[in-house]
Amino acid sequence: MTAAPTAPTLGPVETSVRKAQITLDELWSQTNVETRAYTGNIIALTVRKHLERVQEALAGLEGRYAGRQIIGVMDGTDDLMVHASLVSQRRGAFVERLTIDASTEQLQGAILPLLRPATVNHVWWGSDTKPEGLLMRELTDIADQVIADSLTLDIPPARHYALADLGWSRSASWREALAQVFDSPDAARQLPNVDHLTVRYAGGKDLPARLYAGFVADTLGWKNLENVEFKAARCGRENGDLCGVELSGDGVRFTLAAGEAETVRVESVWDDKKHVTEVNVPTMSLAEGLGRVMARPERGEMFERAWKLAKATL
Amino acid sequence: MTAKRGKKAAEPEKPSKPAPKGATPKKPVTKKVSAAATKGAVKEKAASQKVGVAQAAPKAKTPSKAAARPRKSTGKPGADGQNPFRTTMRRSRAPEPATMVIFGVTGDLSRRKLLPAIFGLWQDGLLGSAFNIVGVGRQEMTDEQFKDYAIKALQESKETDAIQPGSLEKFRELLYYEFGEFGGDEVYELVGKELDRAEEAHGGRKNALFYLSTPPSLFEPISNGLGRLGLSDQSEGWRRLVIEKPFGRDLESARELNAAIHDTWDESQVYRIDHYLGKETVQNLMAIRFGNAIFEPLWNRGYVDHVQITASEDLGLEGRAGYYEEAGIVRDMLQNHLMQLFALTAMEAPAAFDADAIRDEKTKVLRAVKPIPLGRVKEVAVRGQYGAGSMDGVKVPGYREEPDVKPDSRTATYVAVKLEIDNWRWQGVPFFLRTGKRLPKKVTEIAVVFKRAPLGIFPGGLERNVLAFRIQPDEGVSLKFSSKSPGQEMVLREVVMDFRYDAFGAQLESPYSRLLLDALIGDATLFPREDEVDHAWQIVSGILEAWDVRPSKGQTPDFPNYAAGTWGPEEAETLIGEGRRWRRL
Repeated sequence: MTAAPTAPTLGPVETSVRKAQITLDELWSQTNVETRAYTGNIIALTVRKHLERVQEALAGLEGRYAGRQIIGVMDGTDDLMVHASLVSQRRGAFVERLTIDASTEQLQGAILPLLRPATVNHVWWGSDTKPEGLLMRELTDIADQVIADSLTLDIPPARHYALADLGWSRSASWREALAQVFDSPDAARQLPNVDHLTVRYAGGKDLPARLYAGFVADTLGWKNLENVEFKAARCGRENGDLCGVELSGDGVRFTLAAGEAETVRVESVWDDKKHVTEVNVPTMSLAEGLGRVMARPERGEMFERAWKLAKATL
Repeated sequence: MTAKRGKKAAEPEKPSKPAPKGATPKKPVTKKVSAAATKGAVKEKAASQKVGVAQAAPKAKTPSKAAARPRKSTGKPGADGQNPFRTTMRRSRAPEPATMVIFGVTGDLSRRKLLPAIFGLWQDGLLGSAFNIVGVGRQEMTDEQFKDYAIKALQESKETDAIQPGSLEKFRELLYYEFGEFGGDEVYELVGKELDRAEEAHGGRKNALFYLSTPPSLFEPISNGLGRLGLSDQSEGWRRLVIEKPFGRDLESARELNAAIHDTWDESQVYRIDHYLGKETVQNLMAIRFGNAIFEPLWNRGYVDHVQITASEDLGLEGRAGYYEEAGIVRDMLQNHLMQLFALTAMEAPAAFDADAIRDEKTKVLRAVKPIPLGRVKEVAVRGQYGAGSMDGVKVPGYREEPDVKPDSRTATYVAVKLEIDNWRWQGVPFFLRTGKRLPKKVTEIAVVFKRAPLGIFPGGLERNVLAFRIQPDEGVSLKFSSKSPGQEMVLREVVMDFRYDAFGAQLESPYSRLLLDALIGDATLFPREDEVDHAWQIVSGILEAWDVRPSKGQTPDFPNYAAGTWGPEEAETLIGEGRRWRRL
């Protein structure tokens, strides 16, 4: 996969479903790349108003997750249009991108033949309309993973594909930070005293915070989120990210609060002693969040249990 | 070297109140050693020596502080001190709060590799919420001066990850410095106080990773000093010792070093770093061998003709004449890096991907190598020293013309050796290892060369299939096989199917960051164990004796015997034998 280190993106070139592979091969021939690695397909389904954001997220997604990106723009017409390009990546690599603008019915017939065979298929529902109909059914049939905003779209976890939620994925650093607080056995021993949780979230979107609360509650053996408070906050982080978490109870308090840059201040109090540390909680871009779930799906059971607790609060 | 030896038993003592930083202690902190504890420790060590494998670390005592106990029921998550959040994490193991103490922190290795690796781990949020670094050196410096030094090192090193805004300032706050003579007690007392201070600030136990980034001559004094002051004792937190190669300069000194270290440390506390094992593609060798069903059936004397392991360097001495004149290529590369690559290639499948299972298998195959006594050296090993030549179109001097090298130096800069393994899998399959300086290019590769097909039914000769693992650069795996050439005739030609690791599109992590994280977690899988190091020394002992110790026994080398920029001396071609040739890389 070597080529010039700053190779430009090649395309988009207008093509058709039948000629798409030939067009891609022609684009490949313009590069100095000798070998290609087919690491998977990602099928991103979206609508025009979200197209730019989806393209931007996919551009930041490295080829190691999916060597072929197929973007289906669902609010097109029956007059199907296909564009092919090779999107330049770091270190002189490229990923293949096919953008199809069509009606949902047309998309179904167009996407399936374009999938690179015998590899992993990720389906990303990058739209705020509820997925339904034949297209989604066909795609979930061939999907190894469905990535979606699961609480908004009410897509329950299912057995025949791995469900991944970007909000859940992007709060992974916060889950890791909380786990780090209790890597100390002394701190872990205080957990039975915790009976209250506050989650502060950035912007107006509290669904990732609810999933996060579901994770904490389930881990601590709580049956529901009755003892959880959600508070909107401002901390310089993106909408959907968290600003802080506090676990408290009889004589104990563990607070994680977003600080400068990507640091989070951790204050732990038990036995009237206060311990203060700082931990890095990197923010995750949409592309990084996508990369994370595609690299290795989260442990399904944990997410499913958190999802059920969170869903019950809506 | 004169320090008193004696295993410090795990008798807990009352945690002392931390003194203010910089205060002079009244007297050294010592620990009582109970007879029972000593007995236990001796028994444990004896068992370890007997079976030749590492024993489990002594169990850390449960903290005696009543205050640390929860007041509520004990059946709830966390009541047992286990972290219930960690079990659900993708990273199911993470370092507990700890202090990393780097001896020799102002040295080259620390500046170029260690500090950037630690910073990268910290910036990625992998080092936990309570982590400190204490630099220790002989050079007098304040904390502030050390912080400046470390930040500058991070800014200058090519190994440093992209620095996020504000990260350096935050990382700076984790750094502390102590100085003193490594032969005395004071510097270790100060280190002990740093551990007290970290515990006071962060809670948790006084876990510490001691990294000896110093010349080998200081390993023993530092190990002893830490032991004298009770800093190897694990009753208040785990304590681990990381040492850099060379682990001795021959079999005898390696055994002495191991014995000296074991006077203070249990083998399970010792982490010997060979940075080759931290490389992604070295780990990928195990992944490809044991994660796929198609290779293992071929991985034996029935199908493999021979194996070639190459680690070539294009560089010369780069100002390291002092070290290199003493060490030479056998100690610098063959005994450690190449021997590890050899063991990973030739070992049996381990029962599990864990430290002891893997290290047991590596040790077994090293033990099975046919000994190379003095009398066999000429038959199975070739040495070389480069003369003047040309590299990349530039004339370069010979080894003996390098600054600070003796004009009649007999130090070898090239070695090729044939290893034979006396076991069922590899009987009759030679492993050829070669490494040298000023070879045409920098490349490390393991090539498994298969036997020819038993019958040629096509015109032309039959070629051998080769499965090659490129460790560096252009990390990847390739398979060479024959295919029909397009055309009317049935003509076969060799083609190569190539997988390049950069297809993953990810920057490879520094081997040091992987190894440091493993040491902090307590995973010794990628660290050579005492018995591995011992066997590796045994394999090269005859070679060292022939070339270094008894040079007058008709073995005087005709140096220089290869020109810089070539693939080594002619004798290496004879070594590999008829019908085979070294890979042109």
